[in-house]
Amino acid sequence: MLNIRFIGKVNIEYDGMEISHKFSGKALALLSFLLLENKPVSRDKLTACLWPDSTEEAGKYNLRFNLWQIKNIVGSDFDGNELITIDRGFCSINKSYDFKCDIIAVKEAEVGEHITEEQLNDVCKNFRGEFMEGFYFKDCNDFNEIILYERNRMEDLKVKLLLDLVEMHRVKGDINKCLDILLDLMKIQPYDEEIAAKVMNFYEMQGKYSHSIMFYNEFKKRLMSHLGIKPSEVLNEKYEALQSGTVEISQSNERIASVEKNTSFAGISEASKVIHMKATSMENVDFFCISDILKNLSKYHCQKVKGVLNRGQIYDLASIQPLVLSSCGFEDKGDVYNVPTVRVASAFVFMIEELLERGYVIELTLVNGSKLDKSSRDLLDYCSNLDGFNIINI
Amino acid sequence: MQADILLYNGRILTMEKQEKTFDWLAIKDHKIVDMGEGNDYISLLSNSTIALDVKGGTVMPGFIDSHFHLVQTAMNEESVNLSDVKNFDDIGREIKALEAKSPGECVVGVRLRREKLEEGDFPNRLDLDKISNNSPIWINCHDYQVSMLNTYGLLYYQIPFRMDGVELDGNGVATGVFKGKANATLRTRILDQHTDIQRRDTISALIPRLMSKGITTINAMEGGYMYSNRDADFVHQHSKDFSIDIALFYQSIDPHKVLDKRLNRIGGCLYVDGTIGARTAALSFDYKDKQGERGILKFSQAELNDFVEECYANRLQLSLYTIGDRAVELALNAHEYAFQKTGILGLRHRLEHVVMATKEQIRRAKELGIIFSMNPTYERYWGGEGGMYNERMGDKYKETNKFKAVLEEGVTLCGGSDSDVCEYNPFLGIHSAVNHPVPENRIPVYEALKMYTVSGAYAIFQENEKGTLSKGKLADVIVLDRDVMNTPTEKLQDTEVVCTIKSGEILYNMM
Repeated sequence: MLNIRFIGKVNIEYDGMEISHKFSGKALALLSFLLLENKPVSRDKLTACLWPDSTEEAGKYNLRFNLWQIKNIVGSDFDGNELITIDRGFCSINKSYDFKCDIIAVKEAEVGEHITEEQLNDVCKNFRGEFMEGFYFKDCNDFNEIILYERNRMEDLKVKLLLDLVEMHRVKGDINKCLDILLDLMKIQPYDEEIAAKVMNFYEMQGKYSHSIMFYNEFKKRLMSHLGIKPSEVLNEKYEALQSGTVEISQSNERIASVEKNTSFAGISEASKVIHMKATSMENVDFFCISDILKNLSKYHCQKVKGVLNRGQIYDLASIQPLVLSSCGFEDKGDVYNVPTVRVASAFVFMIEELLERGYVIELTLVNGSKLDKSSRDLLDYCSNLDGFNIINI
Repeated sequence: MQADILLYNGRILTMEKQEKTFDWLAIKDHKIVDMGEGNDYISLLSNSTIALDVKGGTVMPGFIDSHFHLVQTAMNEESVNLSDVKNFDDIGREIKALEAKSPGECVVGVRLRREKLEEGDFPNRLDLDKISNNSPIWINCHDYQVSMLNTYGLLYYQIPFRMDGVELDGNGVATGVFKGKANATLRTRILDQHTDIQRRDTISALIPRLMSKGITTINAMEGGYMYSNRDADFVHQHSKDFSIDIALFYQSIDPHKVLDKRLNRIGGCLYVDGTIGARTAALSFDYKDKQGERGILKFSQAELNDFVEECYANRLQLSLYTIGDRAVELALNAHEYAFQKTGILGLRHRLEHVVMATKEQIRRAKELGIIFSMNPTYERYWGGEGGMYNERMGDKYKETNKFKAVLEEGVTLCGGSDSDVCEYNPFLGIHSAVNHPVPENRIPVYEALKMYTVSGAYAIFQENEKGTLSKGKLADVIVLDRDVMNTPTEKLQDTEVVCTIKSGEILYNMM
C-alpha cells in the first residue's frame, strides 16, 4: 500500500519501501497540493501555482510530465485504480486508490465529531514535524504561501487534537496519561501558558503539590531566562495559592469532576498541611542535608514546628542548625554545644514523626541526592518509609 | 636583565596616578619589568630586544571593555550593518552585496532603525522577497527587539507560530515580522543553529580587530534571554584558546548553573527592565511620547530579593541590567535586603548601563560597594537635544548617564561598549564620556581612561594583574598615535591605537 507523509520530513513508501527520492520537488508539491485540496483542481490553477514563470505551453508540459512521473512511480493499486484522476482539464486524488496520507488523516480528525480515543491517538502520531519540512520553491510564491499557511494551521491543529486527547483521558480519570501528553507537548511548546496551567491542574488533582510547584518554578525560570518575561497573573496566582497551602478544592468544575472520579485524591483538602521543602546535599559534610532541611523548616515553616519539640531536642538540633533556636523562640546565647550524633538523629526523627502524626504531609525535594552524607542518608532512608514523607530527587 | 620589548620616547600613563608618568617601559616574559625616565634604559637593551620609538605617543594599559557580547559581535561582523540605510532600496543593495559573496547562505542584517526608514516601518517578508528569494534573509533592528524574515527564511527556520509576537496578515499568514516572545524564541532558535566551528572562526577573525582598537580584555556577556546558552557554554569552554583575555558573565538566573561551572560571577545583561528605545525601561515617570507608560520590570521585588540573596549566599559576583530609575531602585533594594540577610560585602556586585540612576541611588550604591558598568557611547547614539532620549523622556534626557555624579560620589565606574549594540572602539566611549551632550555630566579625559583600564580591572577582581602599568604586572600595553592627555577633547574620537601588546607579545603594530 502507498503511504504518503507530508508532515515532518517528506516520506513516501510503497509496501514499506521508501520511494520519496524518485519524486522531483515539483512532483511532491503537486501531490501535496492535490491532497490538501481534496477535490478536483483545474490544470490551469495547478500550472499557475507551480510554474508561474513558465509560458503556457511550458507550464502544461511541466504539469503533464510531473503527473506522468507520479503515475509512473506509484503505479496502479491492486484493483487497477490510478492515484490521480485526470478528467476534462481537472486533476484530483482518486479516493478509491489504496493509500494512506497524513494530511488526509488529520483533516478527517479536524472535522470528525465521533472520533475514538484510539483514532485520535493514531492521528496525533502523524505530527512528526512541520508541513513539508525543509521545502522552499524558488519563484513559486503561491505554493510557498500554501506551505506557510499549512505550517501555521497544522501547529494549531496539533495542539488542539492533543488537548482533545488529554480531555478524553481526563474524562476517563487517567491523569497520568494526561500529564504524559501535556509534558510531551511542553517539549515542543515550551512557553505555552495554557498548557502549563493544565499541567499544574493535573498535578494538583493528583495531590502532587510539590510537582506542581517544581513545574511552575522550572516554567518560570524558562520564561525569564529565555524570553525575559514572567508567567501570567493567572499562573502566578495558582502558584501563590500552592505555596501558601490555600489551594481550594473547588477551583474549577473540571477538577471536582476529576477528584470525584478518583478516590485516591481524597486527602486533597488537607492541602494546607503540606510542607514543601528543598534541600541540597554535600557528601563529605556530616548532617549537611539534615541541617539544610532544618534551615528550611526554621525559615519557612516555623509555626508548624513550634511546640513539637522540647527544649533539649531543640538544642540538640540547633547543634547542627542554629536557626532552629530562633524559630522555636529561643535566643542564641552561644550555649549550643556539640552533642552525640544519636541525640541529633533521635530529635530529628521525633520531630518528623510528630509532624506526620499531626496530619502534615512532607514533600522533600532533594537536590544532588546522589551526594548525600552518610548520616543524612540514614535518616532520610528511615523517614522515607513513613507515611506522608515523600522525597523527590532532582 | 635584558628586555624583550622596549617602548621609549613616549608618555607612559601608568594609570596609577595622573601625575605618575614615565618615558620608557620595558617588557620581559609577559610582564612589565621596568619603567623610567630619560635614557636610563640602555642597560636593558640587547641584540634581541625589540626597541620601539613611540615618538611622543601615549603608552598606557590595554583597554578592558566591561560589557561586550562576544559571540554576537563576532557573528555579526559577518553580517550587514544596516545602521545607515534610509529606505528599503538601501537595504536591498546592502543585502545583495553580501549575498553575492556566498550565494544561498543565510544573509543576516543588523542594526536596522525604523525611525530612519523613509517607508516609516520595517520591511515585511514580501518587501524582503523583492530583494532576494534565493537566500534566507534575517534582519534585526538595532536593539534586537524586532526581527524580520523573507519567505525563504520563514520556511527555512522553525517558526514559533503559536507564540505572541508573530505578526499575521489578513489571511492568517505570517508577515515575517517578529516581536516580543516570538522574536526572542526565533532568535534563540537561529542562534542555537550556529556551530562551535562558526563561533571559533568568527571570534578568531574578530580578535585582530579588537587588538587594532587596543582592547586586550573583554567582559563577555553571553547566554540567556535574547542570546544563546550555547554561546555562553562555548566561551566557558574555550575562552583560553584566544589571545584576548575573556571574563565570562554567564547570563542566567540559576546560581546553581554557574556554580556547577565553577564560575564566580553571574549575570551581565540579566534584564531587570528593558530599553528606553522600546519604552520598556522602567521609569518613575511617564514616557513623554506615550503617556501612561512607565516601562516594565521583569522581576517583582520579592523575586529579585530572593535571587540576589541567593547570589550573596553563594558568594557570586552579580551583575544586573538596569536602565530606568525604577529598575535601579528595585536592584538596590534587593542588594540592601541581601546584605542585611547575609552581612556579606566585598563581592563587587555590578549594575550594567544604569542610564537613569538618580543621585540618591548613586549614593546608596556607594554604600553597598556596587560598581557601575556604564556605556558612554549611548550618549553618542541617543543622547542630547533631539536624540532618542529626548524624544522618549523630554527634558529628562539631561539626567541620562551621569558619569560625573557617579565619580563624585566615589562609585567605581567602569566602561563598556555594549558591542554589538554599539561600536567597540573604546575611544568612541571615552570621547562620549568627556563630551557628554549635557556639560554637567562630563568627566575629564583621565577619568574616562580609568573607566576602560584600572576600574575595568577592579570590576573583575584583576586589578593586581592589569589595568595599570607597574613592575610585575601583565604586559597588556597599547601605544596611541598621540599624546592623549593633551589632545583637544573634540578630537579624542580620532585617536588611533598604533600598537597593541598582549601579555608581552606584539599582536598589532602599525608603527
